[in-house]
Amino acid sequence: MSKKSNDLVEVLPAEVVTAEEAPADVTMALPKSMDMVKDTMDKFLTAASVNAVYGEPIQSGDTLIIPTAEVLSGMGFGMGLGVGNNAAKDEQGKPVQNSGGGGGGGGGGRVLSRPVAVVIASPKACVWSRWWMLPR
Amino acid sequence: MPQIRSEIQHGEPVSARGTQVTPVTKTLCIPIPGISGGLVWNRPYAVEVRTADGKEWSLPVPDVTRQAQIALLVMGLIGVLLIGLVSRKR
Repeated sequence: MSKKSNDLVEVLPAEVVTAEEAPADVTMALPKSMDMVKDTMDKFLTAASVNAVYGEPIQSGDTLIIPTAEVLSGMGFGMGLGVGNNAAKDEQGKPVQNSGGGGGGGGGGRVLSRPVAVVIASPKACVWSRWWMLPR
Repeated sequence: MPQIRSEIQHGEPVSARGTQVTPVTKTLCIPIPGISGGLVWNRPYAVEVRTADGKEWSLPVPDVTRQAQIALLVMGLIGVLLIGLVSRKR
């Protein structure tokens, strides 16, 4: 081994984290990622609620107008994490603790929606109407 | 293995001058095997109406656009079949 690489080996133990510390360092980012995934999942699941399909009712005198829409939502994500240790020894036979890890993830999704009909409720009757037939 | 789920959900009732309207939706959840995530298809199903005099009924909310799409598809398929039959006879 050259002098230069030997120096590098000697310097490394002071800077690298120990094998016990490495997983903790790597997994520190995990809760944040999981929170992000949870937030995204929550947003995705709102598409499955009744409020996503029926809009805010509009009251005009005795009549109640409720717009409706169809919502199609799709998403997917994945993530991975890896940690490794290298129990090498330098030229003097001293153990060189070298460990590291990394993780990554990705995902994507799309929400599509389109108007379907309008429900018109009044004390006399309750009917539905095509959304494009309503007076502007 | 995650399963395809279909459910009917009732929303919060809305009232106006004695008439109470409860929105109802039909939700289809399709999980994609192998990855986290999936598809959610949510559409209006009906509204349950209750009038001040106690009458209660369910009003289905049809999707006219979807019906037109299906009708066009069926007409297209029938057209293809007819053209196939006519060209085979010749």
